[in-house]
Amino acid sequence: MSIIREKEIKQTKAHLVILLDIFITSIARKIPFNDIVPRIKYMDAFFDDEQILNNLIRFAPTTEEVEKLKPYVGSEQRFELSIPDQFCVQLVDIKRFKERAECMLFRTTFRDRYHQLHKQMTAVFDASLSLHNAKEFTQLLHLILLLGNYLNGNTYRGGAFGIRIASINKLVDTKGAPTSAGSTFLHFLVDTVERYFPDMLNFLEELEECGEACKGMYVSDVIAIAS
Amino acid sequence: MVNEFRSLEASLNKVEEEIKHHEETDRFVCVMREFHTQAYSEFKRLFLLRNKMNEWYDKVVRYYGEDPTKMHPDEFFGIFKRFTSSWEVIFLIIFYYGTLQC
Repeated sequence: MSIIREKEIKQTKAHLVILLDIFITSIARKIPFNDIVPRIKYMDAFFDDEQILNNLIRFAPTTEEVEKLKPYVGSEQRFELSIPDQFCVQLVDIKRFKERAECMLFRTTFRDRYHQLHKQMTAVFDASLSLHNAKEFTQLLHLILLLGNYLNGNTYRGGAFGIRIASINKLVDTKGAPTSAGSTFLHFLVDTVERYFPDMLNFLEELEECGEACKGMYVSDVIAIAS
Repeated sequence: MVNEFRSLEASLNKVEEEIKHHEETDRFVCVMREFHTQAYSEFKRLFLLRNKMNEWYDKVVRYYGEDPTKMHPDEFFGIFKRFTSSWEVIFLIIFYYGTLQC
């Protein structure tokens, strides 16, 4: 009689039931089954864990399931249900369980998210400041403009007043004399600066912080999407 | 970065909201309230940092002739990162294979 009832009531979807069962079993190794939900309610530090909380949110009963489970709350008949279902019955007893768990998750992950964001924002701030004050780099840009105009001479490309900053990465595409292997404008520039303007090489240090600053956004957006 | 910032702000507000739905005797309220107070003051720091960051990012991007509203930090700083990386590669080539004959 009780077995039939158990099979009759499919509160949760099949595959989730298996996962929930595994989840409960792993927790029950440390905490007795009937203590689990009360301890969650009491904010036991055991549940101050990102993975556990993510799972609890995932397994939280849906509104339909809550309706099916409600009659069992406080009733003797709940012991006839499967373990996962019994667990869900207990969860139903906690008011606004899902919202609660989401707040708990936020609290658990806040420290790390804060530090990540702080680190990225600081990186962008530092790089902005550093780049703004980059004297040698400005000299280098002048040199690039000068050389570029000289090389373009009397053609329509000569006489430029400025360049788009992104084009500094096109210098390597500008080919030089076919006799020198791998010779591009950039090779020529590096060689020239190393030989005749060694002080200008400080620009590498001035631009160093740009490396950290350009990494930032990607990582944090991934975290934001995942949570 | 912007999204993460907004997400933190939204979640913080959600916590504040959620606390109101539960009884004072519930341990949840006590723990969350303490968390919210602390997180809020830390978040304010982040807010100030963000303003400082935006101010200087704006300045430097305009200085280099670009539009900060159209260029994200990873793209902007990526330009310089790429440039210094290329430079270093070429420097090593020159260093190991001798200077170019120009």
